[in-house]
Amino acid sequence: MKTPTLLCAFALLALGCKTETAGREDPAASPKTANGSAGKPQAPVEIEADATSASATVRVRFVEAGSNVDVRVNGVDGLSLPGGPMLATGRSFVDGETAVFDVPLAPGPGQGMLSVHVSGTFPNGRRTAVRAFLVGKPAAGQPLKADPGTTMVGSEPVKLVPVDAAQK
Amino acid sequence: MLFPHSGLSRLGLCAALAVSACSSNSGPPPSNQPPNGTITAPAADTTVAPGGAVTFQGSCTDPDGDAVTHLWDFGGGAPNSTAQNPGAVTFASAGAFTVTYTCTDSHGLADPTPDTRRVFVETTGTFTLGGTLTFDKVRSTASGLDYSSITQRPLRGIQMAVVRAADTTSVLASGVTLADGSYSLSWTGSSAVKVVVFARTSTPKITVQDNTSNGAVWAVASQTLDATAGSTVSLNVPSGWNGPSYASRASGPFAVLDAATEAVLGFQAVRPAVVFPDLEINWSPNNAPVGPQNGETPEQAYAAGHISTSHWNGTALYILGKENVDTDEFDDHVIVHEWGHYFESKLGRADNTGGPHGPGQYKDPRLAFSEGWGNALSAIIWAPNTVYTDTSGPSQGQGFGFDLEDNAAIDSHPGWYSEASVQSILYDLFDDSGATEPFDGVALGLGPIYDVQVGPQKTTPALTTLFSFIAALKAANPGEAAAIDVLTEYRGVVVNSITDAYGSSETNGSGNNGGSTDNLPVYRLISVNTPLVAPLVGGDSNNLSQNRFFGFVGDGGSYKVQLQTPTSDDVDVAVYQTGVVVARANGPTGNETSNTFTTQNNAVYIIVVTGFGAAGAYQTTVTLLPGP
Repeated sequence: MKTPTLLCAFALLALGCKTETAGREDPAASPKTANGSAGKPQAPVEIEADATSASATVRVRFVEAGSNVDVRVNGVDGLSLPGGPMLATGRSFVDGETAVFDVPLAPGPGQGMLSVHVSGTFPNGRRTAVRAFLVGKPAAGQPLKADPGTTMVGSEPVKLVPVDAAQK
Repeated sequence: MLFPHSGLSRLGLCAALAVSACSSNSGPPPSNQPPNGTITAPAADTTVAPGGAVTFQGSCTDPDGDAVTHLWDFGGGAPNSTAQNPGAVTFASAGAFTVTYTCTDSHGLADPTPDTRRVFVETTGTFTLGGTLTFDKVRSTASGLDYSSITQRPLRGIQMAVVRAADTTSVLASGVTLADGSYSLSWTGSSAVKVVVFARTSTPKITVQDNTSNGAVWAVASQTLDATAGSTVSLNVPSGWNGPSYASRASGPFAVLDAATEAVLGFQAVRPAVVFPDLEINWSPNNAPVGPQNGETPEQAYAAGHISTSHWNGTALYILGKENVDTDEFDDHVIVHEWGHYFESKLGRADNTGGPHGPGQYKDPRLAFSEGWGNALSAIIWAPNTVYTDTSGPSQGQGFGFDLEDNAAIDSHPGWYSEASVQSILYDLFDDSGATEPFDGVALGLGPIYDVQVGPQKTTPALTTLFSFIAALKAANPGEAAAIDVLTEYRGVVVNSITDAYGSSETNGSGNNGGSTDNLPVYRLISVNTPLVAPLVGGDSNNLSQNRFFGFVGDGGSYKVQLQTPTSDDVDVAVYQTGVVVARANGPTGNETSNTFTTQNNAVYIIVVTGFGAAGAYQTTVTLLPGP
């Protein structure tokens, strides 16, 4: 029995909308309109994924028509992809079309990450959108990656990276 | 093959033994392997006072199982020792001593890579260190990061410190680097020190911190230095790229900081008096384009690195750093784009709706202006590099780019609702294109653009759009007004010269209506108790066709706004006075009434109706009612 975990994100920053000026008093903020963010330009697609331990279903909805579209996936943090990285190469999609892909997964220990990259030529040129999805649950004690901890410098906790200096 | 130091060849040895033991079926003769020694104590370089002792312990393994001997060379700080564990060793004199532990097997083969520690016998005195601080910057291209093109840029205006090596909480001296990355710090105290360089500037205060580590500021620290050994210490923060992957991400936060610094310097070059509020930039190798997980609060999502994308959230910047997925620390234009949102938020004003957007889409003109501003600013700051690039993917080997000078290619639907149109106009207002762009006869530079952004664009009673910006820019630069009109009318972004902040000159029959007569006029005048129909079209709630603007002038009375929607579509309303929400209704239906608000006499109020319908045409009726 599959117990899918819904993993959903939008390639176009879809964190809601904001209609008040940041930093100013907003007497009637609402969840629907108060948490908007201003993100970087990306391809006009929405990317979602449902994942089990063995496979993921990736859905890409094209908000704008795209041509010469490549859809590729990448496994990181121990996640392997037996089916390879390319889900689509050089394809065209019409406005509003949703492409669905099944992606076999071979998780490593702990929690991995499935990265989905959609690149193509859209009405405004070549664009890419990237979204990533967590696969599996963190192993006991599995830390965040690349976390060397902090060191006190003066009275301040600092994320300190050692480097070599040249002295003469 | 020889047995090292034995004087016997393997073949010679075989000849003296039973033939069967050296038959060809037994494989190649084994060779003697060197031992491997490790200093198990101390675990790292150590600092002591003169006469202080350091406890040394060693461990040596030999793959052949040979007996081993030990040699500790204390670099002249103490007599050599042949014990495996010399125990407490006293260093009598000040200085820096390299301790080397070498073990040797019974054949005389020594560990080829003996382990070392440095012992700093600190003395006190007055010392000065100076030098230059730089960082590795990897070139961003439209096809990925180019690790073959790494340049060392100066760390400008960076906070730094000299700390006691034995105790980094002991700050001996602190200062700020100059524009060329140089520094000079003097102190009286220990001679055994480390140089710490923070990813933080002083003026303005920009801090690059790790949101996945409780907001700790990023920094690098040198190895322990003996200040008596030389007064010049220079340091380059490496990219950490070793070919297939990153060994460290040391220069990442400094690259982010450098891009933000470049933006600050760009404005200060034309308006030296500008004061920038403090800025926190959150960058981490854990920051991935992962959305908030079920049950995660926004704070928890940020702490886990689930930042969705690089963005400004109204308070701070969040920048992607997930290797092999999406990293932005070297994507200069991305950083400045997001910095542009900080600028709007803290120094100017952005009525940006947020939400999905892309160049050429028919978007709410508030969003189109804000996002176009971010893109244009990235090219302005990095000019003459006008190509916006964004890299991602395995080994950061993918990407895309667009040239802000290429007006036509990136703007399939030119209009006042297109961020591509906005960015092209803003960049052309800035640059001096000479004769290459006959439609661009204006070259204002950044100063006048800044003046409008922090002045009339901030205080406009209208919403912040291309109309409000251009109207103010023309008013402030009347000698350039005709050229500005030519620029804004190029490719029909607007059909008629912009005459006011409300886009009143764009009318149906004579204007760019974005493909629908419902989109003009941009603002409609609304009167009390006079219902107006707002036609809407389903889709993203920040689409042009999902937002309708109405305006009225206050008379000191109290009012509320009623929505009546015959379909089941959700519709919200907000009332603004100079960009500030004074009333709204944002329930789950399209039939609701805002809270009552009291108007100021002669103040302009803008009613924004926003639809959330999924698809198809629908409408709502808007009525301004007297309150309460």
